[in-house]
Amino acid sequence: MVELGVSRTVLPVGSKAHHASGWWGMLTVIATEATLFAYLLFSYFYIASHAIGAWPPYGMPKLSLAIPCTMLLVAGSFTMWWGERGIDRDNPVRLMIGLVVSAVLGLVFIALEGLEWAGEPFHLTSDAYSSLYFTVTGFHLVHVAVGLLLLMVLFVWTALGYFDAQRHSAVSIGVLYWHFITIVWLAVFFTFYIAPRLG
Amino acid sequence: MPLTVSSISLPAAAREIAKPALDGLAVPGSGRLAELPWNWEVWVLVCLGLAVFGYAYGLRRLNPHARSRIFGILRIASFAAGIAALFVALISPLDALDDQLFSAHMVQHLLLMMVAAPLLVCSRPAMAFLWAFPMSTRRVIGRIWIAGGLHRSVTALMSPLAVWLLCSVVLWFWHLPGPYGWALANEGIHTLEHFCFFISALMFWSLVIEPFGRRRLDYGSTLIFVATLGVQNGLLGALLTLAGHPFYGAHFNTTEAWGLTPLEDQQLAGIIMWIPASVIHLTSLGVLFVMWMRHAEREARVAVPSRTRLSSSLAVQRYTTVLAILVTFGLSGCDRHGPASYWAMSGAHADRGPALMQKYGCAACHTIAGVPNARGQVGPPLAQFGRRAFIAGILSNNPDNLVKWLRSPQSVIPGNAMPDTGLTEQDARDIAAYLYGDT
Repeated sequence: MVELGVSRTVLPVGSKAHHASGWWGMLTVIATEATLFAYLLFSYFYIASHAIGAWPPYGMPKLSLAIPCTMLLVAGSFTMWWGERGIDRDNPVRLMIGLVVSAVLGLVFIALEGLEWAGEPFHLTSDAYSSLYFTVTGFHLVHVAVGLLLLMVLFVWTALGYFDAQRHSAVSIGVLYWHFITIVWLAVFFTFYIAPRLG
Repeated sequence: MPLTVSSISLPAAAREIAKPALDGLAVPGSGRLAELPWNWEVWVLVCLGLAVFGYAYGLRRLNPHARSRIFGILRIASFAAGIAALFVALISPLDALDDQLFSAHMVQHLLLMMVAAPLLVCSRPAMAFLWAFPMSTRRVIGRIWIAGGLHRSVTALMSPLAVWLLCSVVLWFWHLPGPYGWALANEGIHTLEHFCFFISALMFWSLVIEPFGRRRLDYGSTLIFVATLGVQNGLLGALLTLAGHPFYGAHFNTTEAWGLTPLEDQQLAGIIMWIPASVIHLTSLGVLFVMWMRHAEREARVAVPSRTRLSSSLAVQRYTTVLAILVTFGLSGCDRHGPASYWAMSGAHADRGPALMQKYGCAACHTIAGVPNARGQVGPPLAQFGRRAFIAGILSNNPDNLVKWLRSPQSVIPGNAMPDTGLTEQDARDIAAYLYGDT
């Protein structure tokens, strides 16, 4: 008779602390994406500086949806920070709550952006302003969507019990990306909605 | 795009928009520099005067030894140059010219942010100001600094991310036509604008230069910090240089007197922001890089004795060091005095050692044979120094490391009990020769 012994000791997943190679990988991703957005926003200002006639051509962009959008993303950054603090204290439930709330805030952000897009009187190909508007906000939306995917994966991993107070580098990396999206949105918001008002 | 586009006159619409901003200010000047007034505004003079007095008085109260050690002639000179730059920017006719020409305004900002700020940060003014007060007041200030939460809030404000965001926001916000116009229309807002620029620049340069040596931001991150802010500055300069029409209504009817169209004036300002400022950013990147490499070398040297952290690059360094020592041995064989001891130091006078160790106060903390009254118990006794394996428990014991350690113990182990005493190279070599001579 053969007896099979299964060891109860489970090897830990992921590295300790958050300075894993993934962390540096995320920093390089942020570097490239930040460069992309820097160039996009520079193109906006450059084209604005050469515009003949009124700028923005369709009047001041409305703030009624943009301000709630901004508050949603900033709040999402706070909930993610709060969730990460939870796993720092070995509390995966708090992290899961943080992930769900941030994801919901992100989803509502995408919905509001969609509403704003639907309400615009111009299309992607109308003129330079419209194509800048859809390109920049569109790129940002794609980044939010990728962020949502990331949060979902983190949620599943947390539910499977992959993380504890020491080993949760994946969470820290995801939170870093989520903060990056918020900061990029602040720059986009400033460029498209605030700068024309201070022109 | 040609730089001279003077034939293109302002769009009429732009003039219309600019009109409200023009009411009651920016009277076209005569176009002659000599007729511009000096700005003898009382509070500017009082601020500058107080700064100079506080610095000079603080230096005067320090004893000469500490003064030359903490400040030295270079730091004092950089303070003087910084104040001179502030004087040119805020009091000379440049200040009056900046209402007329955007390019003059840009030169003023450049002087404030890229010349005065780094020079002043280098000169350690806070420490001199503190010394301008008597001991009891200094204690009170220290207590308020710690207990009043000032220390914590300043630490939080000086976090690199906060400074980076603040510098970015200040840069872009104040160059938008709206806020720029408010500043020129209202003296108070203009002062606020300059205050924002100057303070953000002081914060930026404090993190970059770290005049007290203990870095809040390591060298690699500082490179990214400077580069990303420098690129933003360059992009804004490019934008102003390449723009198709002038942005700033306040200058629309004042530039003609100086022989420039508003667009040419703006292009000039853009170029000033783009090139000279970027040269300063690039130079600081170069200096930081060299400092980074030096720091890494020192770290490696400190790491070698511990053996546990030996990586391949360190191993290479170690072999080079061994090779250098062997070569030194080989060459020492050529000496006409015959093979010298490992500890022999060329050109050093061991007999000067005891007097020097009295002079620099070594005797206050160490027990040293042959030095009268050297019975200090703060540091280890310095007998038979050549038999030791390590200096300060971390550097391998050899003449170069000993000289390095004697000259600046704080750079080898920041915060250790042995102070930097300002030893010259020759004095350090003489002391080292004496210590090894006791072996």
